[in-house]
Amino acid sequence: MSAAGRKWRIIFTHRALLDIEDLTGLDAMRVNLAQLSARLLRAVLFAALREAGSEGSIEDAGAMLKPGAMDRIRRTLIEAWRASFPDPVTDPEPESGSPAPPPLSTLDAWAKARYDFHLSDEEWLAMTPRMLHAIALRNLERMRQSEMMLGVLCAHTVNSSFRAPRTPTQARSYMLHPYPEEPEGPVYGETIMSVFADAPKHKVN
Amino acid sequence: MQKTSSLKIDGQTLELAYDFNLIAEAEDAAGCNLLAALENLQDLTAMQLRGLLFAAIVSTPRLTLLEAGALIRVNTISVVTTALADAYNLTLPASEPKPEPAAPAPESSPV
Repeated sequence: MSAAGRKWRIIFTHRALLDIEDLTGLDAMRVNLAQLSARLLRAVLFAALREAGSEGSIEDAGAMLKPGAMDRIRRTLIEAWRASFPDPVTDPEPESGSPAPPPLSTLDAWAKARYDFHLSDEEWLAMTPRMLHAIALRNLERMRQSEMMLGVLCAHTVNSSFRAPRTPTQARSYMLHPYPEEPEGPVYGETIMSVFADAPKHKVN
Repeated sequence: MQKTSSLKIDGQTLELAYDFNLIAEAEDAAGCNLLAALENLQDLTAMQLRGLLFAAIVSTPRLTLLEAGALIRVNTISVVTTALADAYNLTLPASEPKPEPAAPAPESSPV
């Protein structure tokens, strides 16, 4: 973003989000940028500039928001905000059966980073929520792989035991974090043929 | 140097200026979103108009929110909105198209 005669790299790390919380008293992880107030816009700009290395005051940030430049600055801030947060979940996992959970608060995000991912405070502060989310997804995948291996073992043991269930159990039944089920697609002739392709062929007399 | 517009009202002349810092700080007192007001000067609520006027008055001594609100009456609303729009337009760069000033309310309109 160009402002005050130089270019700034705008990014919303957890450090910048904590600055916004300090200035506004709002939970920065749950701020709705579509309904920015003047006070919030100034705080967001100030936090972003500070993260980019500015030593100016919040009044200096407010002074940049002149009518001719305000729209451009706001658009840039919103773009940077979107780029710093994970993409919104459009299709929550079907097995949850409940609406998507609310976004993490900064305290939750800090606890997750410290406890689950063993990040230091500095590492967490320098990360954006999007980066933390990427780590969370990677962690989830690792957990699923481990659970899948254990689930295969459990399913095999149960299915090959005495009094095995008539319908074989699946590995995913034993997973705490099962992979989301793939939605059923339309059934075409090719789909049916591909299912029967592997079936043993018998000669009909 | 801050560019100001003059608002002659009730026998006094007040200097109005656009200052985003004052607007941001006035939001708490005004109790409404003044950024939304800035974006739609043609369609202000009473709280937004009072808040914008309160934030824009740079004359000293500063008026309180209630004193600013007392200046806005049926017969002064058009003068106030025009002066606010002038203060806003003064800060626009020369190349920017200037927004239309707020439409003055008819004198006889009920409030």
